[in-house]
Amino acid sequence: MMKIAIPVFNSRISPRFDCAQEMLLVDIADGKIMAQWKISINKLSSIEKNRTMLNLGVDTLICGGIDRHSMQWLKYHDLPVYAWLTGDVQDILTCFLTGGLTSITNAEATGQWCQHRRFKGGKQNINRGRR
Amino acid sequence: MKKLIVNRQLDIILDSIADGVFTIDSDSNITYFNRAAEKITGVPRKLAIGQKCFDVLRANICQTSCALKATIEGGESRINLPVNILNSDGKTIPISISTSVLRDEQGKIVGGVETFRDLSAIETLRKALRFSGRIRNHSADIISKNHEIQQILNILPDVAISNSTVLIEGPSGSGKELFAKAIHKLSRCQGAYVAINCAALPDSLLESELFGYMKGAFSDAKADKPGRFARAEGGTLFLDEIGDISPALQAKLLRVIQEKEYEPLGATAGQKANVRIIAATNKDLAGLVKLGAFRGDLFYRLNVVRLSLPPLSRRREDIPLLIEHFISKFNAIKGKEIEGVSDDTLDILMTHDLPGNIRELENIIEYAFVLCRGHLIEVRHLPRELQESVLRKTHQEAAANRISPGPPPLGAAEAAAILDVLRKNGGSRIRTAMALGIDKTTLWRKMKKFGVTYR
Repeated sequence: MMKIAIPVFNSRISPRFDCAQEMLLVDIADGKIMAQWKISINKLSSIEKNRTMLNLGVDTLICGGIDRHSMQWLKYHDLPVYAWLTGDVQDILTCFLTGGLTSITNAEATGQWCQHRRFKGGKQNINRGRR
Repeated sequence: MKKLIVNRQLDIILDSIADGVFTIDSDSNITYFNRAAEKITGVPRKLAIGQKCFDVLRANICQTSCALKATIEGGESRINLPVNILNSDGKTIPISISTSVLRDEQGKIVGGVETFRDLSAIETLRKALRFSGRIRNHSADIISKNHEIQQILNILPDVAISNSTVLIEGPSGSGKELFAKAIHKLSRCQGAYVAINCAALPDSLLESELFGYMKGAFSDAKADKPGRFARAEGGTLFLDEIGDISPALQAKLLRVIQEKEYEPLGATAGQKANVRIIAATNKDLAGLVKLGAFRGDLFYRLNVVRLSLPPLSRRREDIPLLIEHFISKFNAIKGKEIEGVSDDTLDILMTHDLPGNIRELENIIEYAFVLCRGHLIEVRHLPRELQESVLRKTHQEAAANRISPGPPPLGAAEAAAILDVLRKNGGSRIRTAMALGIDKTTLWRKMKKFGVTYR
């Protein structure tokens, strides 16, 4: 069983991890979604959001824009991150389950336009780098 | 054709201005993105157009109170609203935004336009001003015009924000904890500053103090007790006298620094430690490593940033400043109006060795405050042992002068001349006396007086 976290903005991935109001948590086992639920993170500061990832036992973070500090912090704590994604959350989740995302935790690049090159799959609207 | 030319001119104009400009349709899709907008956000125009504005700008207000959306819905413009965006490098950029509605030729609202200005330069200046104020505030207790201390103070803000482990070396009473506190305050971390003197506690107690214990870990452990690491979570743990901890505890400390994890006594699982460690010692840790009394791996883990504080005897120029500082402090605490110290007192304090450094000086001033009823601290207000040591020193110097007075300045020249002639005459007293035009008895007397010998 693995747990992934996706900061969300309505039905889309949140454009900014540090400003996200809600977090979708998804339990995955054998490549299938076992459960998913949302938690409110609107009162948490950026560093508290980072810590929450560890406290909740999150194995992977999938997010939109992420600031350098958070990225470094999560990298330091060995949490894989798929960042700088845009689009519908369920589409991104499907893409993740089919192995279409590449973690950029260990990549030197932090910016979204670098990440686009690393994006391996998904629908066109998920990531504009695919255009 | 004419409309095409006008549009191109408009593009040229909008690309020439320093402010970012973009427009969106009623679904928040970007329809125009100028060159300055590309530069500020780091997003190329061809990739930005057609995207949702919040996925490109990534402003802190996008998800809660989008100004452009409010403008389109309510028709009211916003002017110079300060927000911040996340650029494509993951850097937060402060900007000010202005919004207004976009209408077609019939006056129908078809979207919105936002202009934004990069405030990074202004913000950097503001931060620099604020930060210099913080340095002044947070290192207010560090009083020095000594160049070694000034060099440390100059790098202190960089050290503070680096979050690296710091090793502060310096003799007892040289102000190591003041520097540790200043680093903590300047680091802007949220957690607490927790200090512990490693030499003050026996080994077993120190371990439970540092790591805490769980209920039932030993017979008196009736409840869980969080250790200093837990109390300093997200903050700074100051380990004073680190050179005095046992090899066993050194190994445990090394694990915390390496793994960022520790186990309270009696716990079955480790706990994460997000704590910045500042260690201090009055010992030569590198020397202890060579002697095998301190673990080399722990030393190198602690020694990421090393600050070496000089003893007060190497920064005597700070003594008058420190005296003034302590007098102000004790005037406030004890409700007195002492103005300063007499010249004789200052002479004594300036020449005294002060092996206890700043702490000793503070204690001397505090003692003087007890006895001083006037406005000036006199020699008689100083601690008796200090007066006695000064008296003893004077006597010793006088005695030394009596035993071996040494040649006075003119005598030194005379002695040098005698020695020179003695050397030329192969040590012969008679020839030397003749060469100098003095009696050999006078020569003998002068040689004895100036301690001149030649064999």
